[in-house]
Amino acid sequence: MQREDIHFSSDPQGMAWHALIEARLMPLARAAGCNDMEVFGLQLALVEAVNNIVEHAYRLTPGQPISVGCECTPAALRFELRDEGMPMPLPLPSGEPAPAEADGGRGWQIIRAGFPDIHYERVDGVNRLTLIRPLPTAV
Amino acid sequence: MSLTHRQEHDVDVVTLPERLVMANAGEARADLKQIIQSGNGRVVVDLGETLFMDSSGLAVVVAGLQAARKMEGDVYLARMSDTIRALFELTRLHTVFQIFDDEAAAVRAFGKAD
Repeated sequence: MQREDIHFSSDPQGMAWHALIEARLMPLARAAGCNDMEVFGLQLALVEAVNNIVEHAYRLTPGQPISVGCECTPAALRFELRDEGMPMPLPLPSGEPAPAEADGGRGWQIIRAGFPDIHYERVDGVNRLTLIRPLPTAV
Repeated sequence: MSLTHRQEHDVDVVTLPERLVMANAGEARADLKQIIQSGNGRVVVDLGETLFMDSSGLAVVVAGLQAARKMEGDVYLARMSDTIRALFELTRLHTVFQIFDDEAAAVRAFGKAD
């Protein structure tokens, strides 16, 4: 099993964490056999999940802790996002497509397109969002 | 300004940045709105430089479309990469915009619409 963890602070005006996701986590997806389009979809879904933490859990407050861990097993890619912000509303959004010309509301659609299996729990004030992408079974 | 802008045959051609995400979407939205409201509502958004865009970036383009249509204009999109096109298809926005392979064809299409 391969594992990689990244840690950074919430920064509503910054993009440095995008480079961390791309440089440290996406190589695991490529090593697991994902093609460029699949890697783009996973990266995009992770960015949307982190955006939600920055915008909703931390309400755009900079400097708050966020971590993203990635485990790659033969069966799946498993990402776990942790933050100490406000709890997520339950149930989690279904990711239904937004109306065609709506200004927003597409984040969860993108997250669920990248990760069909999603779990959330809050433990001791820490939000844990687990995003799982099954991998094709090796023959 | 977060966007590159020029005029061609009475059409505003706007090139989006390499990354259009939550961090720069607010500025891009304000800039695009200003460009549209200063012109005639006929806009080509060139995505040829854009390698990555999130839902905040999509919202910038949709807001531009809404502003242009209020002026009885439109926003045409040009030079999308395969990955950006996949994002538009996933979110069904490809049904809302006219999409062209190159910028010149998008500009010409406004002429044909007259």
